[in-house]
Amino acid sequence: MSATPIAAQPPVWRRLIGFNMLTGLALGIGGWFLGAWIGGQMAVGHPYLQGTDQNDVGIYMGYLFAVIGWLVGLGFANYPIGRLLGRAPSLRHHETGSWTRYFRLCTDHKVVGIQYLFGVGIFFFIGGLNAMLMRTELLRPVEQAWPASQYLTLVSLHGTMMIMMTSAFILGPFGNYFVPIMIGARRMAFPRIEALTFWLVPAAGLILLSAIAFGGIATGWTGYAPLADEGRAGMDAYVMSFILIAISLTLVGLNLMATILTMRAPGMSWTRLPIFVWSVLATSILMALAAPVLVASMTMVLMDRAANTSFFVASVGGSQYLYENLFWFFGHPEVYILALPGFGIVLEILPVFARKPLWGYRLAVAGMLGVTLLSFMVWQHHLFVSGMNAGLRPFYMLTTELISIPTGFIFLNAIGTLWRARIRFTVPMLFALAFFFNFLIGGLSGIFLSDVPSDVTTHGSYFVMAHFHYTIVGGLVFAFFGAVYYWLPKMLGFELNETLGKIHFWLFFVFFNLTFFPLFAAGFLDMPRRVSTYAPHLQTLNIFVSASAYVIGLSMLIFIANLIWSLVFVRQPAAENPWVSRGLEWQVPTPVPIENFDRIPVITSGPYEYGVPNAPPVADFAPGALPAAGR
Amino acid sequence: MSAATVDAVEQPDILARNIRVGSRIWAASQAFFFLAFFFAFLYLRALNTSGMWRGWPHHHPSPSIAFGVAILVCVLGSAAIARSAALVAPEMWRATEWAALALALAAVGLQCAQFSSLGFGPTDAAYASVFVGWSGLFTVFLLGMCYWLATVIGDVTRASGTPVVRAAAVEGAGFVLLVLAGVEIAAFILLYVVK
Amino acid sequence: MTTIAGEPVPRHGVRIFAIWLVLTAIAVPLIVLVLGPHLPPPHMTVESVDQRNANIVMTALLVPIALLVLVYFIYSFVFFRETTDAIVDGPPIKGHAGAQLLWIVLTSTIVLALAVWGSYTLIAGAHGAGGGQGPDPAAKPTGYQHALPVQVIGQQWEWTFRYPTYGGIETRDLAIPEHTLVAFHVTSLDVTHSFWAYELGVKADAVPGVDNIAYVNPRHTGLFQIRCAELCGLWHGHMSKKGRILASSAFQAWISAAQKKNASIVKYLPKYSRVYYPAPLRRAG
Ligand code: HEM
Ligand SMILES: [Cu+2]
Ligand SMILES: [Cu+2]
Repeated sequence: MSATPIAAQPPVWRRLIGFNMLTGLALGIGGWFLGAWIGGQMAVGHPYLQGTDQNDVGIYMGYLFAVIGWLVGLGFANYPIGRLLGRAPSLRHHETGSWTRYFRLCTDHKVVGIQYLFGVGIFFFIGGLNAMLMRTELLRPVEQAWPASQYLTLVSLHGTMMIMMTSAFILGPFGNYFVPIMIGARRMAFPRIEALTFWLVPAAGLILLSAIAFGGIATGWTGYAPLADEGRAGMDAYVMSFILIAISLTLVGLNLMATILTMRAPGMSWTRLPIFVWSVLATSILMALAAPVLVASMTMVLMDRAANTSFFVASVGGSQYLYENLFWFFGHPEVYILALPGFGIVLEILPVFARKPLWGYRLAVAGMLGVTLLSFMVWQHHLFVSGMNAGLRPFYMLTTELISIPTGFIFLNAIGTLWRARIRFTVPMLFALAFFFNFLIGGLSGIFLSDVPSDVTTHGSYFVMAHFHYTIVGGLVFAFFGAVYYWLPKMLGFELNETLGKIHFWLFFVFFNLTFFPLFAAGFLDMPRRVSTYAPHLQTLNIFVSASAYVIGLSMLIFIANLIWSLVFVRQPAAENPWVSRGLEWQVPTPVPIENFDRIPVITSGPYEYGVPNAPPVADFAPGALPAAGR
Repeated sequence: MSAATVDAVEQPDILARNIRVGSRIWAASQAFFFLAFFFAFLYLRALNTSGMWRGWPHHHPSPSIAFGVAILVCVLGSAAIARSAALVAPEMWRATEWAALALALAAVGLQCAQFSSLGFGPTDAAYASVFVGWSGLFTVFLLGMCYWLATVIGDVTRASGTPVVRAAAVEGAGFVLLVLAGVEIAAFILLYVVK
Repeated sequence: MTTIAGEPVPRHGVRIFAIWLVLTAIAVPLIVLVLGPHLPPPHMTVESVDQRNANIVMTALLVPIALLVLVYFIYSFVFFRETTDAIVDGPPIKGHAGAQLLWIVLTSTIVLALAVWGSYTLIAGAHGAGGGQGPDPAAKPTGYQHALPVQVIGQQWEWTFRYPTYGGIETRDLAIPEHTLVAFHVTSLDVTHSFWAYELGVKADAVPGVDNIAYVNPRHTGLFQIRCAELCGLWHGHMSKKGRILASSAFQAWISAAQKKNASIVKYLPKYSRVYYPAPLRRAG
């Protein structure tokens, strides 16, 4: 199948042919037309499909075949077909070769990590661009920049894109890249599935973007039925892309969980596991269990739209509450899918730059597992005023508030770790510390939302919007950038410019707060979410917010400039362990060899033993006395 | 570097544990997927919005129970055989996996046959929606299991890979099928008996 | 954290605690007395007054918590920073059982207290009665059996109101009498909306096929803002209008005028019902 022998360099055009992204795109586009045609044929003779003014079956079949074409073009069909024809099982595929391996199916977890970093990063910036366009509309209280329908599509695209892409914001790039290294393994448990999880992401992102061409999305990221049932074809793009992402998330969870459970190196006991790996484990439990529920609820929307079932149509026996319950049964764990990896990152970074052991390691683990468990029991707090189960409101108020106890543990860990520490304010550390400031505000504002009397005002208002941006952007995105500045030298082999990094940080931190803190007030002052027009007396506030948001955009451009400057122009090779960290991932050479380790190391000590007298090194990399593991 | 040389150095017992753990997680994910339909059934039935759970007053969709029983028997049989394969000697695996595959395929076929002669359609109110959605998606998952069983048969027949890994695959497939059989029992009770 | 301070000199814990105490002593009265009256919602009804009180209590409780963490962090940035370029390890403290226990006990106490207080106010007081409670409410104000029923109907993209005790007329503007318990029966004809009367402390989702009840007891006359708080499609942001709380006599005058005006139309309306099932709309954009 490898059509490209590496030894004798064939001409460029020849190397473009084969199983790669281009082929995938071509087959994907072809698949779209084929599927749409088949769908058109299927609808013939089915009156309930013709009762509507558009044939959703054709659209779904188009998307389905496009995805199949994309995956076939990338080479994902070769192995399953080979297996059916009797090929022996194998794990790995196409791991060596030039830069082209970044553009095709590659099972090296380090390649997948970098693919994720850039793939998800691109969609993240598209989502951010949408935010800028929205803030432009909100400069004036009347409709001005975009028609109402386009504004709504912008909100939905921004929200959906961001939620979809940031669900794997940390597990995708850093989970895939570093978890195997941090636990002393050579690969993930299921490398081929790992590659699949990534390649589904661009498919989902492109399909979501195609909604623009199909009449847009009118429902926001939550896609509430029955509004979703009546939406135009853009809604089909929403449904399809969310299904793809949810499948990807399920598999990411499965893969990482299996990896952590089975592939730890000898000596990597549960109490030596880096805290980041613990957070990945907790997150992957949530992913593997919650994302399938999203697939199911999206499938119901799909059937409501394509086959005129009535899951959510009240006059034919359905109920919109069914959608709300299913969606938030996924949706609340989802917000912890976003939050938990951030906890892991900041607690991983803190000890390195405080030069102290992680304070209260067990408590941190208990906190993450506690959050994981509780997050399945709180979903109806999104539905306090929906009119379902008024009698259950105290229960959900209680569970929601209980979840702040394990979350509080993470703060105590930080407090303890900083106690009499020797803090160095490097760029990653700044991001990690800012995380705590932002998450503090985000978390405490959540208490208002969990209290029913208070939620009567704040539900569906800009208060909620400020709250979740504080936790997602202030929490997850800050942690993400912390991880970028912390780990990129290992991943890409070059140092990032520190001054530009600090400018990026300070602009982002200050203007993030200036953007979103006033929005708490907007919510308190009666401004509902998802509107392009608002009360005139809120204009000053909104102008201020928009101006601050533009500066956030600027800070992101500075980040990109830093990337280009450092990676393309300066190219200062990074030291093997620039932060003098004890983490196992820093003890391997840069760039990390394909096999990660010459021999599977034997872990001899925990990763946070800073200042512990006579602490042994984290691992024995040449375990001579032991039988050479895995060689 | 060819794939085979790398795989040759992977420790078989780790590969086997991966399959074992992976199959458990996958089974749990599937269970949560169908939990949504389980919930949809009970919830819509309890709400009975506008009195339309079972359909219009004069038209209550009811699927043929004979098909229901036949599908149930096939799925249960397939799962029982696949699951007990882990207990018998490896020489028997070829036979057991073939039997399990045949029964699973029979269930898929029966489901398709039932759909083509259902007597009602997805538009016939809430119960019909849940019925069509649940049984349809169950069939999709069952087809996935058929693929897995087919690869296991291939490995067992050609004795490819290592014995521990083959054993893990047989065991894992059996486990996932068992969970699917549990889903099918719930589906049978709700969709055919309770309604 | 004061309790971690087992160390003799300098007494960081005591200092942090002292700073925090001073700041809290300043902040809490400011919140209650200065910020409090500006917290939402405005006090037009008994319910909204109680909701504002809830907001004041929570702000007064949460700000000290935020201050504690902030004071600690800033203090540690100043006093626990590395001043040289060298990378030197700090003291290897891995935890402190007492401090952890204290933290768990403290946070659990606060959280449980909040939950108990929240549930109590929700059920016993008027705090939660303005939130939509569905067809059989849990928080019932006294005399709820005699509340004036007003049906609020959401549809794309308009609110209308029916007064079943006044001949089932349907009006485009909302008026309710002062000092009378009103029961809003919120429902929808198409997609999900949410009836939000900010000054009244009312928010209730309008769900097709559901009668979502919210109680409210107006304290004085005036105008209030009505909005839609659940995305319902294209003109979601335009589902806003002003409602009025009228003195009893003015309300009587208004409603009889409305009854006269609407008398000829009522027979074309569907019979008053707690929910309506129009044929499902499809592809309305
Ligand atoms: C520069 C940064 C950002 C700005 C200025 C911004 C701005 C906005 C605005 C104006 C809205 C619409 C609010 C409304 O009318 O309801 C919104 C919604 C939203 N944003 Fe952001 N945002 C930013 C970053 C992010 C990020 C990084 C994420 C997630 C990772 C995110 C997730 C969301 C979500 C989920 C919604 C809700 C969409 C919906 O209502 O369906 N945002 N944002
Ligand atoms: Cu939630
Ligand atoms: Cu509305």
